[in-house]
Amino acid sequence: MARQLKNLDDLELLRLYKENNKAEALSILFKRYYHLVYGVGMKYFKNSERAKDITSHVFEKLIKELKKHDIEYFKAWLYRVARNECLMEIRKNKTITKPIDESRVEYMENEEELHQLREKEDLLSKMELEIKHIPKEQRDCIMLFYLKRKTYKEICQETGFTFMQVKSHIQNGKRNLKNRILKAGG
Amino acid sequence: MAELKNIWTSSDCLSEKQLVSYLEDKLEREEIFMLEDHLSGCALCSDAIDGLMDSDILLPSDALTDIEERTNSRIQYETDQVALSNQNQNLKGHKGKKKRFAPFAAAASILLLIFGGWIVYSKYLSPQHTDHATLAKSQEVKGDYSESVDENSIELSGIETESKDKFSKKREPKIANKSQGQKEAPSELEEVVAASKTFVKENKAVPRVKRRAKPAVVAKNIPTLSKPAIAKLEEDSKTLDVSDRRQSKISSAVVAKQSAEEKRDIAYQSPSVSNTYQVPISRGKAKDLESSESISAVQKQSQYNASPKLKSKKQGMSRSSSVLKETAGDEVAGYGKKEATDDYSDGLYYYNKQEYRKSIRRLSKALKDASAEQKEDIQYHLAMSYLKLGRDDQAEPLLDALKKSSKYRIQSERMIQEIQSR
Repeated sequence: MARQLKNLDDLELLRLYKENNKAEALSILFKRYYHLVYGVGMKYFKNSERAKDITSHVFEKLIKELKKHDIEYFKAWLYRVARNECLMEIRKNKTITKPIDESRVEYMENEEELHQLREKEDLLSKMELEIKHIPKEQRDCIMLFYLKRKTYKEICQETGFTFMQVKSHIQNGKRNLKNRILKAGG
Repeated sequence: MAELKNIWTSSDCLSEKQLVSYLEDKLEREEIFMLEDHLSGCALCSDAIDGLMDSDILLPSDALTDIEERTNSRIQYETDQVALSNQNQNLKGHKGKKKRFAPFAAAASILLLIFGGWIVYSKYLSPQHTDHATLAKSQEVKGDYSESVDENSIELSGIETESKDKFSKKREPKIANKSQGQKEAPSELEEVVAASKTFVKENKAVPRVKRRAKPAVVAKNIPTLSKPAIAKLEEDSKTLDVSDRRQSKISSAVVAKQSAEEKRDIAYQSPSVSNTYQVPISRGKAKDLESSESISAVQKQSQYNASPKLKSKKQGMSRSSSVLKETAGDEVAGYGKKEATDDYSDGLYYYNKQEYRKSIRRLSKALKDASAEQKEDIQYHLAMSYLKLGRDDQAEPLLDALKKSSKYRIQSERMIQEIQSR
């Protein structure tokens, strides 16, 4: 039974929990994300104990909030909750004041839309046209990663950017490109 | 440039193993590309990589297990709560159904109670039923008397006529007086004792017919002889030296007679309560009374309680009792007086039955031929009947007349006051 549940995607497990009150389904769903939420906590607090506490707190909150919301993209919603909890905790202690970058969440939430883009026949020609209009560092990172299949570390070495910068340039470049294609009527 | 087409791919988030392998640089080039491609589209995994990249301990497995256990117990608790609330909702649904039926159930139980109460009332408590019960009881008593009188006649048949006459002659005048409710206890008692002594002496040889002699009247509410009288009786019976049990029978008969007289006196003094006054004389005990006086007293009592319609039937029930009644009745009162008594008892019967119109009719009739003593009783009940019907103007003169009465003075004054206060 547990094996069968493990094969289900996030939304199926979520539905099973909400409709049939199946605790095991939620346990399997959460197990997919403990380490990631812990990693997010580590990013914000740089402290293992606090990251552990915030992870527990986030999942407890999720149990309560799941019943109240109709969730379509669990991953994006989990990220939003985890990050907000971390930021709230930070604001409470006034250790860090970092603005919330909503565009990253939106990008995750529009994942399905992005996948649909792939299906379009004229996508490639449009990409070739639009990629010229995104910032150079973003364009370079994207070209190195997707055309030359270089790893983040290799791009760092080649461009001189840090790992975080390379990662950020690629993420932002993808988002800008998508926005431009959608704007152009792709 | 064609690879750019696959820029937006869909993939699952990094597993714990993938994450650790990536951070420890243990993945193949293609695996790294796939993973980093996912990182470019997944903020959650990207942030997790950012957070764990600088950490000394990549992923503390103990901490993650701890979090997982805690969360799982929390999930279990929540699901249990949900199950419980669902159960409660089901129960509430049932309760709601019960609540819907509650008024009907209450109404049904009330109806059932009323119906049960009505059955009990109609069977056991209604005035009609009470009258029947009283009648039945009086009939029973009368029957006892008839039997006992028959037995007495058999018993007495062996006794010499002379002594019988002597005995009966001595008693009959007293009986006449007693039946009118006159009380002459001390002198009469002495005479009865003397008669009984004579009777015992003369009939020593008479064999006992039946051994049913027991104290004639034993009842809780019946007043008995006064202590000196009893002592006198006992003394007499001792001095007589009668070893025969007949002696005890006679003394018991005397006690019974006295009791019956006293009881009748009470009944006459307060006729309004006489319908509840039962004659506690059993079949065997009554036999020993050997007295037409007692029988007539009991008959009178049963007449008092009986319905006028059934009275004639009752009167014909016993041959010997009717004979005794005739003999006693001639001496007790004249024919007109007897009629007045019947009307009076009928009037009382209807009064007790709360049929006041009928009681007024009978009592008015009885009042015309009533003796001085009965007149007060009749007047009182007539006045009460008028009052019950709200005919105060007719009740008032009767009550005024009763003001002079020693028996009804207080009651009549109180009633007049009540009428005036209305």
